Amino acid sequence: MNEDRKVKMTYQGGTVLISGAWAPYTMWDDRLGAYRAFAIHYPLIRRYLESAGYQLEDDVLELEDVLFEDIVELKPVQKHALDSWEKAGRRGIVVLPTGTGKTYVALKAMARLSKPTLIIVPTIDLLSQWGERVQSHLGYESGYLGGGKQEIRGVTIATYDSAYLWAERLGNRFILVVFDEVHHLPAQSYRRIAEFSAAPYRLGLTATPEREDGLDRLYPMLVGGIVYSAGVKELAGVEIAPFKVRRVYVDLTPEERRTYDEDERLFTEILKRLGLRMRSQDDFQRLVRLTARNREARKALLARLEMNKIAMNSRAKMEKLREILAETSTSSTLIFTRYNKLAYDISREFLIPVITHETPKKERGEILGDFRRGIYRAVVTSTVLDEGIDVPDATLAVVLGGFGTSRQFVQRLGRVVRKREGKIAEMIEVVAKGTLDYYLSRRRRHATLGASKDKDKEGSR
Amino acid sequence: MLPSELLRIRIRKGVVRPAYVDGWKDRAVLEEVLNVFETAAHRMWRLTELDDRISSLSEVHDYRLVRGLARLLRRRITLAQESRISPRDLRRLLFSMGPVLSGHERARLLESVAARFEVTVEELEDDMFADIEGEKRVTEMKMMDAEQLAAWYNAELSETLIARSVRLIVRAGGLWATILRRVKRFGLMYDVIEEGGPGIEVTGPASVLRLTERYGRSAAELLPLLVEIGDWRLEGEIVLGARRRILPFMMKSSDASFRYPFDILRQRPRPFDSTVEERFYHALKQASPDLKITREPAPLKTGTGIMVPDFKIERGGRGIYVEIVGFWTPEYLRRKLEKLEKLETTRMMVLADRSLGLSRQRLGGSKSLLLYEGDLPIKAILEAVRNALGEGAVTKRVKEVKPELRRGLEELLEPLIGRSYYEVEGKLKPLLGARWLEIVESQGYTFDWRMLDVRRALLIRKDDKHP
Repeated sequence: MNEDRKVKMTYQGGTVLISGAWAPYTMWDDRLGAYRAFAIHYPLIRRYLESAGYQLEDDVLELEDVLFEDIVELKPVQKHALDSWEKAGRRGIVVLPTGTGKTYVALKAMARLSKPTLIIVPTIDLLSQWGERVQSHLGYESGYLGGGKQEIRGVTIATYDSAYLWAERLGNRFILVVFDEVHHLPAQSYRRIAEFSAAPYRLGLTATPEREDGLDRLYPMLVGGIVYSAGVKELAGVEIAPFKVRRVYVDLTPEERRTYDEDERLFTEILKRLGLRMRSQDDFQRLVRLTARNREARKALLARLEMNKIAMNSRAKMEKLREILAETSTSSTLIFTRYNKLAYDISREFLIPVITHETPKKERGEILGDFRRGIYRAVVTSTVLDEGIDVPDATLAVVLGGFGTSRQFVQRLGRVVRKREGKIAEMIEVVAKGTLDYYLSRRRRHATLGASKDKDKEGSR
Repeated sequence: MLPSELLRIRIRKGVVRPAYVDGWKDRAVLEEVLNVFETAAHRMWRLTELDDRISSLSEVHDYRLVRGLARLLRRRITLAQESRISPRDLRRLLFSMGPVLSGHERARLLESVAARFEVTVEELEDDMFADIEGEKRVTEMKMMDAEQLAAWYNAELSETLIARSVRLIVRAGGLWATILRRVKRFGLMYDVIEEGGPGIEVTGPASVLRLTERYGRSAAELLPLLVEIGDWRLEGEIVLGARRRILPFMMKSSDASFRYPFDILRQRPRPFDSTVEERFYHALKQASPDLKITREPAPLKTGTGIMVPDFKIERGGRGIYVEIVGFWTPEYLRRKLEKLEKLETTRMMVLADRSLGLSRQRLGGSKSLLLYEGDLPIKAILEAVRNALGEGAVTKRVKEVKPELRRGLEELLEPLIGRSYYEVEGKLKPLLGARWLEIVESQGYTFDWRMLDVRRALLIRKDDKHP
C-alpha cells in the first residue's frame, strides 16, 4: 500500500484536522502540522478526498447507536415539506405557520434516519416540550443541555445559548441537527453552532425566516436554503382556520398626549441638531450607537423610549379592552401587550390571569390548562407567548402593543388560527392614534399581508 | 464580566484601554451608587424602587458606568419576598372570579376577599404579585467601600474587553505553570512568544481559520488568576463598531487597582477537562488506588524552555511523568519526542493513539512512547508505570546519598532559596548527580518559573508556592 495516499481526518474543537493531503476550505495549521477547516465543511472535504482517490481513515464523527420507534403520522402539508427536504439532500429550511405542526416534520425525519440527532431550541420551555414529543413519538429519552441540565445523549436537546457554549464538544456527535425557530441561528455568535458542527444533515424550522438585518442570506451556508414554504395566506381555510384582522383606534388621554408631544418635540429637536433623520432601522441603529459618546443622543433615545411606553401602555387601551371584552363575551381570548407593566395592570384591573417571563413554569402550565378547559376565558401576556410555548387554541387575539415586525405579527396570529370545524379566528389590534404605535402596526401588517390599502384584511379559502 | 453593552473604553493614539475608575478621583459616583444600595437595604426597598433610583443616577452620570457598578452590586444584596397571603393562592382565587369589567364590581369583590383574609384592600393588592422579582424587597447588602468597588469594577471591565478580543497575548511575572494549566483546562491553546519578553499567545483550534471572538470568553477567565499573581500585562486586538474595525488594546496590572471580592471569586465557573485525560485519570485511579496521581505537576525544563506534563504518577516516593498526545502527525510527534528527550528527567511516558499517526517506522523507536488503539490500555499503562517505578527509583538514590549529606541537605538547600536554576544546578549536580532535581523536589523544594525562561527560575520551598 502506498502510504502517501493515506489521509487521516479527525475532529478537534469545532474543526476538522486533515493530515496527509490538502483539501478545499482548509488552512495550514503550523501548531500541529496539519490542514484544518471548520467542521461544517466536513461532508464536502470528505467527498473531495474520496474522489481524489485517497485512502481515508475518517475518525471525525463519534456516533452513539440509537433506536427509534416511529409512530409519527403526517398531514399532507407536513409530508410535502419532509419530501422536499429529503429531496434537497436532507439540508434546508421548512417554513410553516405556527400551529401547523413543524415539530412533526422533524420527528418524522429523525424516525426515518434513526441516527443521533441534536435539536436546538430558543427557550428552556421548548427543551421539555421537544423532549416529551421525542419520548412519545420516537420512544427515546433525550439528553438536555440548558436549564441547568448537562447530558449528551443520542438525541440531545439544547438551547441556542448552551449549544453555543458547548459547540466544540457537540460538533462531531450527531448526523442530523434540527434548528427550531431557525431565524435565531444567523446571529453573530449562534452561527458558530452550525460552523463547528460536522453533521451532514441539517433541518431548519420557522414560520418567519426573514430577518430585518438581512442575515437570512446566510441560511444556504449554515443550514441549506428554504426547501418548502407555505404562509398563513396560502393555508387559510385549508390547513388553518379562516381569519379576520381588524384595527381599532384610541386617543391617548389628555395627560398622556401632553407628555408624548413633549417627548416628541425633544426628540425631533435633538435629531435636527445632530443632523440625523429617522427613515429606517439603520438610522435608528446609528442613533443608538451615537448614545455611547453623545449625551444629547442619549436624551433623544430616552425620549423615544418614553414615547413608546406611553403609546403602548396607554390607559385608553385598557378602556378599549374593556369594551372589546364586553362585546365578545363568548370568545376565548388572548391579550398581547408589549411591556410587562401593561400586562400586570390588566391582570389587576380585570382579574385576568397573566403570563410573563417571570411567571413560574408550574403556574403557567396551570393557567394554560385552565384556559384550555374553558375555566378562564381570557389570558393576558406580554411577548413571552410569542414563540415556543404550546398555547391552547383561542379564537380572538387582542393586540395592545408590539414590535413593528412581521415575525411577531405572524407568531401572534398563529396563536388563534389553529383549524377547528366552523371556526373563524379574529385578531383585533388596538392602536394609539398619532403615535409610533400607528406606524409599527402598519409596518408589521404590510410586511405580512401585503400593502393593499389600509383596509381590514381577511384570510379566506 | 459585564454585558458587552456596558463595556467602556478609551482610545488614545489608536490603542484601546478599558476606561478604569479610580477609588479616589471617581469617589463621587462610586459613593452615590453604593449609597443607593445601602439605603435600599436599610429601608427595605422593592427591587423596582432600587432600579428606578439607579435609572435616575444613570441620567446624571455616565450611564454605562452607573449600570455597570449597579450590576456588580446586585450580586451583593439579598432579596426577600414579603406577603401576608400566598400570592399564588390569592391570584388563583381572584382569577377564578374574573374577568370583571366594571369598577364597581371589582371593588365589591376585592372587599369581600380582603374581609375573608382579614386584611385591607391595599394589602390585598400588595400581596397579589408580591412574588415577582420587582416586588421583592432588599433586606441585606454586603458592605464595601469606594476603593474596593473601583478595584472590582476595573477587573470585571477588563474581562469584558478580553471577552471581545480576537487576539490575546498574556505576559506575567510568574507562575507560568498555573497559567498554562488554566489555559489548557479551558480548552484553549497557546503559542510561546519570545518577542518583547516572555509571554504566550492564547488561541483556540479555530483561530487559524478566522479571527474569532470565540475564545475571548474563556480567556477572560484567566484574569482572576492574573489579578492574584499581581504582575501582568495583556495586549491584543479587538473588533469595534459597525464597520468592525480591528484595533490594538493594552492593559496591565499597574494601570489601576484590580481586586475581586473573595466570595465572588468562589462562584466562578470551573474549567472543564479534556475527556481523554479525564478518562485516563479515573481509570488509573480506579485500577490502582495506591498510586498518587497529580494532574499537571510542577513544570519540567526542556532545553531553555519549560513544559507542564499532564500527570505525575508516584508511589513510595518514586515518580514518572505522563503526557497524553491528542491529535498528531508524525512530524509533530517527532518534534515533541525530541523536545522530551532534552528533559532533565528521563522518566516520561508519552501516550498516543496509534490510529492518529500514519506509520510507526517514521517515528523512530522511542522507549518512552506507548501507542494504543481505541480505548486507553490501562493494563499496559499500569505495567509500564510499575516497570518505570521499579527501576532506579528516586528514593533509592536519596537513600544512597551519604547520611551525613542527607542530614546536611536542608542546610545545603536553605541558603539557595531565591537562587536561579543554573546556580542551584551548578552547586548540586556535582554533589547529587543527574537526579539532583528529583532529590531537591523530594525534600520539599521546587522552582518557581517566574518567566518562561529557565534562566530566571528561582528555588523556593514547595509550601510557599502558589496554590
